[in-house]
Amino acid sequence: MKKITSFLAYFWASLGSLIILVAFIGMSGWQQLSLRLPFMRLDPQYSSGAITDTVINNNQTVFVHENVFPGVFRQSKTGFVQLDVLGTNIDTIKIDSILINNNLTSISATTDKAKADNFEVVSFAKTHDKWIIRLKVEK
Amino acid sequence: MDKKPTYWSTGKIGKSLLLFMPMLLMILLMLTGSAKAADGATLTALLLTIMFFAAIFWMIIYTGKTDKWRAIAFIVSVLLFCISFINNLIAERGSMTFSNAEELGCNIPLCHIVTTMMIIPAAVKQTILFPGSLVEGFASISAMFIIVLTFSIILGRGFCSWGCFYGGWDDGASRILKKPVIKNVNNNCKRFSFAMLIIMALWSAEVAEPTYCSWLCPFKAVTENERIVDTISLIKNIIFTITFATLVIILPLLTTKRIQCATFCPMGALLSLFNKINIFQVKNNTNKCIGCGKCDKACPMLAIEKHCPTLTCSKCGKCVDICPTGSMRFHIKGTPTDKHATIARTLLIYPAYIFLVTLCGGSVIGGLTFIFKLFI
Repeated sequence: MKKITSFLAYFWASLGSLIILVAFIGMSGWQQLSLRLPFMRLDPQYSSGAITDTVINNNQTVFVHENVFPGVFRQSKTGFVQLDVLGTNIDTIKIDSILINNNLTSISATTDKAKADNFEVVSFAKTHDKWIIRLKVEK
Repeated sequence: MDKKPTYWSTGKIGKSLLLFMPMLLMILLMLTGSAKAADGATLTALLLTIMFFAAIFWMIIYTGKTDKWRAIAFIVSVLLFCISFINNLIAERGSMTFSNAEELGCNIPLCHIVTTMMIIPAAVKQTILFPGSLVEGFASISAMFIIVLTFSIILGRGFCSWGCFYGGWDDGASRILKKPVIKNVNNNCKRFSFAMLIIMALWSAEVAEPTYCSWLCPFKAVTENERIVDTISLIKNIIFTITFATLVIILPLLTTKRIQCATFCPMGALLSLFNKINIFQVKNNTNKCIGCGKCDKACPMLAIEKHCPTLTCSKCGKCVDICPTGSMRFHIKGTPTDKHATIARTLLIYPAYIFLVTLCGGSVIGGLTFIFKLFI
């Protein structure tokens, strides 16, 4: 019995190098395979959730994501909605009644309803191909 | 006193060559794929890197000393990793800081320490709580997940001494002084890392962000950190600098222990749990042990209690090298304690060294290339 245990232990130990090599050499394949794991998806807090609406204006396309309320055990009361703005020479971003100027220093609402909603920019950034704007939303 | 036994290949060129040649082939296999550009600086760096890793492995085999040579490869790899990483960030972003664009665009490279903060969200909500890319780019979430999982299963907490691209910092600092200024560091301090693991996992899940990375990680000071745009980001950067200076440089220097890794790192605690299911271990043959206590004093991870390695052992081999009777040795669970020392050691250092070479080799080449271009 001791000899069998020893043999199995040495066998498993000797597989170590092989497993490390296979893991690195086949990395791209393993990566694709790992995407099938149920938890292998970004939290909406970072992925910003699914796109629920698309608004096309003259020179810009705005993708409106779903409302996200971050939290693991429970959702927070305040969250955000992300807008991805694609277009060329963007000066202002207009979505329905919301108007955002080009340097994102101000955001104005053009209708009474939007004014009442009190829009607030949580965070924003300009990447190489789009603008990303997160507006505060409350439950 | 019993005489310390040597390994089968120690001091013998022919036998050492037999154990060395397969590793040389693997070093060539894993590193030649890293050099994409064929300019002179990169090729020189590639050649030097291959020679460096090959020479270190030869010394491990030929001299029979593990920790001394491992530490050189480990520390050099980590320093060049940081140089290469920061250089790449500056080339891509113009700065080693990340802005809203990187965070909102989910372009932050994943560090393995984040794994500890991803466990609860992955279990409860089945999502990854980190602003990184799932597949694309450097250090993507899936790639790091595979790397950490594979190594943890094969070598458990050996990751901390053979693969962690941060561990070399405090390993290096802990080796500067030969004798500690602060003596008798309580071994129980290592239990704090388990508390850190629990606190960080729960705190991150509660506030829905990787809190250790956002607020405490010392290595933010030498890799990538948040751009200072307001008071909060300023406070965070001050904390990163303080934790790096104290936990990674000053305390390891004064105690000759890896204080950050042993007492503060939540990832180290998680990997310790993998030691439980891991087949490789460092074991003391109590029949041969004379109780000199050298191993207890030497262990940089505070892992040895009453001459026996505990769960937090990182398999660095320092106690094995220092033991005067050879009672402390690398061991494979389920095999006899007093036999086949060479087989156990070789089977452990092979995957560990392949991992180190593959994970850090590209960064070593990158770091050397940057240095060459800077001075030549």
